[in-house]
Amino acid sequence: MSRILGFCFLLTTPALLFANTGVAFVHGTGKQTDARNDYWTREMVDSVRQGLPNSSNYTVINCDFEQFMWDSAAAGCLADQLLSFINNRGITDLVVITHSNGGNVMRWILSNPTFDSRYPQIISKIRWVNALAASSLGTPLADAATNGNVFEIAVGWLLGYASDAVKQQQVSWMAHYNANNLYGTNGRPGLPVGFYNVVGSDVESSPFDGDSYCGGYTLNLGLEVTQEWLDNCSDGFLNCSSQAGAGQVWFYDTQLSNEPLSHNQSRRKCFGLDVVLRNDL
Amino acid sequence: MKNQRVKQWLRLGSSVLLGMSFAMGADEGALMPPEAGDFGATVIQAQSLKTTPQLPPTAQDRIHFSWALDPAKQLNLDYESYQAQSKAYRLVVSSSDFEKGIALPLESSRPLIKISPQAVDGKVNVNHAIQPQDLILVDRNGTLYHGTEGVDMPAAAEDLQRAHKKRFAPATTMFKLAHEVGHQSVHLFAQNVDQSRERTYVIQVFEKHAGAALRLQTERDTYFAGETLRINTGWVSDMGKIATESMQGHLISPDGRRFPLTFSADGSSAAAQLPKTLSQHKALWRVDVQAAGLHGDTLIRRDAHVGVAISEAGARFGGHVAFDQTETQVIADLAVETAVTGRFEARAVLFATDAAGEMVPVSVAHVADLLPKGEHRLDLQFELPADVDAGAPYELRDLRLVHQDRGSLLHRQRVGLRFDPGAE
Repeated sequence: MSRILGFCFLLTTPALLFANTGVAFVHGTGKQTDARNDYWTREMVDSVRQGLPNSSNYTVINCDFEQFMWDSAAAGCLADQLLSFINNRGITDLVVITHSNGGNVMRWILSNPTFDSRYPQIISKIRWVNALAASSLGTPLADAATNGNVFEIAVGWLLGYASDAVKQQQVSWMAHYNANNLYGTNGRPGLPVGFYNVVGSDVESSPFDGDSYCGGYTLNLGLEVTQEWLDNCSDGFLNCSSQAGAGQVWFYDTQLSNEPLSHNQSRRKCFGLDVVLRNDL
Repeated sequence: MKNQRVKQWLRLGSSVLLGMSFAMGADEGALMPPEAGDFGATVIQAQSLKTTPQLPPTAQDRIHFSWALDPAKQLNLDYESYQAQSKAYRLVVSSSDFEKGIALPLESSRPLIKISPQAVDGKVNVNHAIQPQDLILVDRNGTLYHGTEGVDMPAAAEDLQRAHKKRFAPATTMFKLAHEVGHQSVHLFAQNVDQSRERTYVIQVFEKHAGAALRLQTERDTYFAGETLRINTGWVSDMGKIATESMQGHLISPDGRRFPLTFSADGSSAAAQLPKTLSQHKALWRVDVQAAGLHGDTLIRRDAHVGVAISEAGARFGGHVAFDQTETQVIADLAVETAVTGRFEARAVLFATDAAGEMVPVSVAHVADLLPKGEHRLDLQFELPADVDAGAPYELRDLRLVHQDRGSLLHRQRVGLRFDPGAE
């Protein structure tokens, strides 16, 4: 209901009636060079952007989110690409769609506006952030991934493979960052713009269930076992509590359709997610 | 409400004008003394922070920012550090151990087991994976389970990589023990392990259905270099008392240096002396504790870890505050002393008095600037939301000073100032 009221509000707001709306897709952990095809898929991006008055007003971010969120290759790169998009296309009303750890990098920008002179310029243009499966409270699987690479050696301690982004998403680390560097979690000041969560609650990977194939059956297969490391309500990488941990819940996957969104499905054209995002622009 | 676009206020380059207005009529006061739980330095020093930071052009100027808060939303300013509770443990083994058999103590049935080979120069050879089909499990009764017979939900290295690319190291495998394998202990063997060279593996065991967990919490989430870090630890059990057999741990710096934790006789607390100089890594330090306990004759192993921040006291609030109010703003101009050149940020939440006489949060303000060594001012410019029926007297709560280019917290105070601009 609040979203319907919101839509009415927007229609009656003169400034937004003449807004030049754009959408930005912000990927999760990983170093992307072609996130449109490799991370989101072309069919997801193309479907969502059809909701824009000018469907060319979109950008797909490609940054190095294997770094800590504040790194110049992460938030710095994101700020650079968002501001270039805003300036080049004259965007006055920006909707940001993030997935997974992309929500944390975005939240870094929103929570630390004095860190970089580009941040306030970006924040002033953002209508809201739609955070798909955001890792706002971290995940025990990041702890597991990091612990699986902790080797005591003669001169010290070796953290082998784990990237800074994975270390950052350990549960206690995110608790620290949420308490000190990020806004929007329970008991902390709110963010300067809305941060609305889409929460994935389960993984289905039965070979006899066609829905398991959306987003790629083999991608869901490995999520089944890692879901065992998590709460019953989880998407195979994140507990629901983490996905709902900052900002406010927009909807749970099962409110959208009968099908749960696994962590790999919540960035794909699955079960009508693209249509909901499209209609939100 | 998503339909309410939050107003933002940006004030770039207005510090000169602000300074002029202060000269004409601001009130003055002093920061309140710290209370229990507050954090801040009494002495500032350069220590290892002697170099001038190399900041990009986008982080050179003074930047102000403020936004409105929902007065109805309660804030928690208890500053409690995170408490970890772990039902997992890890073993570091060698490739030859998979031929000899690796004893895994288990308190409960159906644990998850994850095996990762050590990366060499940041790379992992996928051929060194211990695949589920190569397992041999021997339960406490001597029953053998070959391959995936004793396993539920096996995930080969390829499965995990497809699902968790960039998150799990290549060659990591995972499986869940079947219920019939039982608990208390299991011996793990593996076939087809490349023994041409001794390799190191980490085995992680997660006993999701266990009754006992290891609790770990640091006394604070942030310390200054040279302080003594203190932790509290112990067992959380829904099956009665766990007798501690051993408790050990380390504090580990981001660059891998280890500092041993000294435990109390009963293992319920520990401490470590922090070094006086830090590394250049802008990451949290890791407190890592491994414990063994007995419940009856069942051996329980657990390890837990938490992140903790270590700051160097490169700056502090000087104590003096000038404050003023206009129709649209409340301004608090804070004295800051810096021992080094750096980009420093002040931030706080403005609480105002509502119609019922209660203090409610109304606005957040941040200000940051590149400051040389010396005495300075940082002015917080809180925008007052027009639609909120709250005003003076005010409080500055959650007052913080941050060394931005180091990512370090230098001051955190639950209530920094109570003030009433213009009051006699």
